[in-house]
Amino acid sequence: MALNRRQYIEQIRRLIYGGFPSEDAEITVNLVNQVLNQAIGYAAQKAYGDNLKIDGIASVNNGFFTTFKSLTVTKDENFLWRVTLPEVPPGIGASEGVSTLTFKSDDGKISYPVALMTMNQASFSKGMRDIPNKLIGYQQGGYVYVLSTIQLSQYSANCTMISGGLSTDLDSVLNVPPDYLTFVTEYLKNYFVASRMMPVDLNGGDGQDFVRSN
Amino acid sequence: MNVNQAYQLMSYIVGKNIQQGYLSPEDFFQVINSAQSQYLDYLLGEYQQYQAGRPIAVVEVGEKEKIRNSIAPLIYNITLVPNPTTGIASYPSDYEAVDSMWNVYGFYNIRFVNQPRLASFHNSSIDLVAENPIYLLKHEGFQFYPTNIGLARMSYVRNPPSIVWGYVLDSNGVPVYDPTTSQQPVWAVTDMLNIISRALRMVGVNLSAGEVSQYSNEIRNVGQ
Repeated sequence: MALNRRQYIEQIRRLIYGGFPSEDAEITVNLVNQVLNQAIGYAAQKAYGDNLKIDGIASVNNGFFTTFKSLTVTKDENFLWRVTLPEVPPGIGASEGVSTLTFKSDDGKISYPVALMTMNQASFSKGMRDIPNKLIGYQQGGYVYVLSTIQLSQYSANCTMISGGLSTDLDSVLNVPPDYLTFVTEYLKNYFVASRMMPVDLNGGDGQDFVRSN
Repeated sequence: MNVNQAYQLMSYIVGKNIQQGYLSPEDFFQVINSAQSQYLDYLLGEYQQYQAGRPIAVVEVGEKEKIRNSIAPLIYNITLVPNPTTGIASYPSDYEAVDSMWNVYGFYNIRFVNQPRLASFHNSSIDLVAENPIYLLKHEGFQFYPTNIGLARMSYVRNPPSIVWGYVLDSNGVPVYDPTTSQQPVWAVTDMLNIISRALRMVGVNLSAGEVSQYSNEIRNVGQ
C-alpha cells in the first residue's frame, strides 16, 4: 500500500511526541507538511549524490518524480509562454528539478517534450535558429518559460518534476522511494526535535524578549 | 460510598482519636465539601507542585486512565454557541476547567491560546485561524477566533455537586439520617476515602487533635 502524506505526517508526529499527540501539540499537520517538502528535497539531493558515487552518473531515482497534469499556460511576453508549476522543484544539478514538459491539446494530442535549458544556455539560445519540431524552455523558480512562436496558451501543460507529490492534497501518495524515506524522516526528526529543545518564553507579554526559565 | 457511610466513617475516626469527639452535620458539610474541592484541584494538577520551567504536577488529570476514571463523574459535554459578532460564549454555571474543545463538525481540535500568544496564533500563515480555530479565557467567557465560528463542542470538568448529609431530629433531638434530603457524592469509594482523609485533616486542626491530623497526613503521604 502506497503511503500517503497524511499517514506519513501522522507517523512523524507520533515519533516527535512519543505517541499520539495531544490537542495542544504545536507541531501541526500543516507545519509538518510544509517542512516535508524541504525534507524531500534533502533526500533527493542525497539520492543524486549517492547515484553519482555508485554509478558515476548523477541522477535522481524515478521514484522521486511526479507528473502534474493540466497546468495553466499563460502569455508572459511576445513568443514567451509561462507554465505555473505546483511548487518550486529542488535545485538539483544544473536543471534536474524539471525533467519533462509537454503540451496537450483539447483533443488529447501531446507535443514532444520541451528541451529544457539552464539559465546560461537560455542566454545563448537567444538569436539562434529554431530547432525543427522542438520547443525550448527553461525553469525559473516556480515557473517554466517556453520560447515559441506558436500560441501555447491554447494548450495545457504536463510536467514531470522532482516532487514528493501534491503537497496541497494530504491524501496524495508520497512519492519518495522507501529507502530514501529514512533520510526524509531523519531530516524531519532533527528539525522538530531541535524546535522542541528550544527554550520557551513562558512569560509572554512581559516586554522581555528572553527566556527566564528552562 | 453514600453520604451516610462517609459521615459515619468520619464520626468513627474522630471519636476514636479524640475522647468524646463529635462531628456535627454542619461541620461535616463544611469539611467534606471543602475536601472534595481540594481533591478535585489535586486531580487537575496542583500548581504548587510545579517546578520552574516545567509546569507539571505529580498528579495530572490526563495522566492515566485511573485518574481519568476518578474524575469521570465530573466530566460533562456541552455545545457552546458563541456570539457571532464577539465570538464569546459564557462559561457553564458549573464550569471548573476545560477538558477539551472541538469543532462541532467532527473532532477537530480548537486550541487554547493564552493572550500573550494570541497575535502569533491569529496571524499564523501556516495554520490559518479560519481553519484552525482557537480560544482564549476571559472574564466574560470563552473568546473564540474566528469570531463567527458558529458552534463549539466542549468537554469540561464541572464543580463537584455539594455533599449533604440530610437529617431529621428524633424525639431526643438527635439528628437521624434522612436519605430524601441528602445529596450523595458522585465519587467512587476509593476517591471518597481520599476526600475523607482531607476532611479529617481539617477536623483535626479544628479540634486540635494531632492524632487525627497525623492519621490524615499518613494517608495522604503514604497511601491508604
